[in-house]
Amino acid sequence: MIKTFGAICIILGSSMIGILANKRLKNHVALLQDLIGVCQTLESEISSKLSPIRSALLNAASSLGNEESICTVFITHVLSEMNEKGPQHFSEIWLSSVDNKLDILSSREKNLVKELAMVLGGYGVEEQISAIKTVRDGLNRFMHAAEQEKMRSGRVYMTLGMALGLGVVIILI
Amino acid sequence: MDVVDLYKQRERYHSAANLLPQRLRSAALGVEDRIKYSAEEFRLRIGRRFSINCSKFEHEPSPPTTITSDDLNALLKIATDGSVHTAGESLKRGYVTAKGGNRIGVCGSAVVKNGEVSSIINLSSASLRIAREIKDIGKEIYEELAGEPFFPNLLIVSPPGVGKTTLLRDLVRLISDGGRRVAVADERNELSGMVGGIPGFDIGRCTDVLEGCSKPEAVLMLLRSMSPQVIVMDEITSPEDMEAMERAANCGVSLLATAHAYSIEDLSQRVYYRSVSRLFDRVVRISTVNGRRSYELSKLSDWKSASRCGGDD
Repeated sequence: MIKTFGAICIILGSSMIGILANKRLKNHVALLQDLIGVCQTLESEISSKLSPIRSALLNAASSLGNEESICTVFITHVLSEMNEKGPQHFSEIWLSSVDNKLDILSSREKNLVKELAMVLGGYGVEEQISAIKTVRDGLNRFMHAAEQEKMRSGRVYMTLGMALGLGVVIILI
Repeated sequence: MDVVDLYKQRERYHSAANLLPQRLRSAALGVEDRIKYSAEEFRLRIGRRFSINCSKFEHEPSPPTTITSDDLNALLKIATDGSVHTAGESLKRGYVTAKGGNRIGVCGSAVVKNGEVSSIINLSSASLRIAREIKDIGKEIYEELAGEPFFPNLLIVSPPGVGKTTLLRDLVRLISDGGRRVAVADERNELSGMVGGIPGFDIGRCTDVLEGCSKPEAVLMLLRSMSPQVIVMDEITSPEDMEAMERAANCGVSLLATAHAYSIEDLSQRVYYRSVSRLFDRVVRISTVNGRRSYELSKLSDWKSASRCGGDD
């Protein structure tokens, strides 16, 4: 009885590792999708309504619809830091928030998102729009790559996790 | 100024100082109260010391702080809540209106596209003008004119920096609270200090403001859309401004405006003077004697004849 229980635990545990690895890939894709959505909202808010950064970010966050998504948490963090430190520190706030709140992204992806730090809230609307477009295009490329990675490796991770558990159980028995 | 005015002036000073970057803010807030009471603007010039312009002198807060380009950029960021692009149109004209009606004038390199200034970059200096709101300074003038069935066309005249806009703002409030519909063509957003649709000053309950577009254009738009009883323009500077005011007068609207002038001779040298003398019935002349402002209301015709007799300064 105890052996069976132990075997189930080992299989469940190793399967969980596979499931988590798969979930991480899913979250990565979802985050990139959200960031692309944020870029689209920022683009339209700034170009057509000349919205201030604060309200453009708020609208971008509310358009995501999920208060607990990594992207919403990131935007909320940026806004609260702006309140605390002042709008003049926006660039530093954006950079540190990317590092602290978007840790699921690769360093290349982070560097791309960080490019907005020096541009958002600047003088020119056209410069901001063109920078946002560049970032959005880059994120699109990263998202396609992440989707392929998810399709290729997601099931493999899950299967491997379960197989690893089974293997360990067989060896132990 | 009485105690209440001094208190309000200090509050206004603090509100303007809060727009400064942290290190300048500390210096500005640390000065003596007498400086705060008489302060008119903060001056920031790259490579020079931070200074406070008072009515009769310039004060450098201690310890002396040398201005850098980061200070000017931070000032703009704070004034626009981190969104300089929202002030793009006014920046083209060299200023930004911040919370509380405080106005920041900027200098730097103008970028010209298609023959027009499209923006100002590489800022070299800025002046943060402390908004002043002194209520009831126009009460006596208002009471003298309010009884008339048709509010007379009134021109406020003084040299720069003496308080034309402050008086104009108070008259707008009094006329508006008195029940007349007032429309303000506020090109530089100085009169209303509007931020996000909310006026930074008390401009009365029946006041409509159109800010950001040229004064003649604003006057015509206001005439068409808001059916005002009194139309207000701060600083008549061109024949086009006068033309727009003339149109308003022809529609049966009362006029309230200001103009820079040291004397009637000075005013009469302006290209638009002929229209001024035809359109306006009354003139308020502001002068400063021993640091105190005095307001003298007269008929324009009296002023002209006094001037001809050599009675004008």
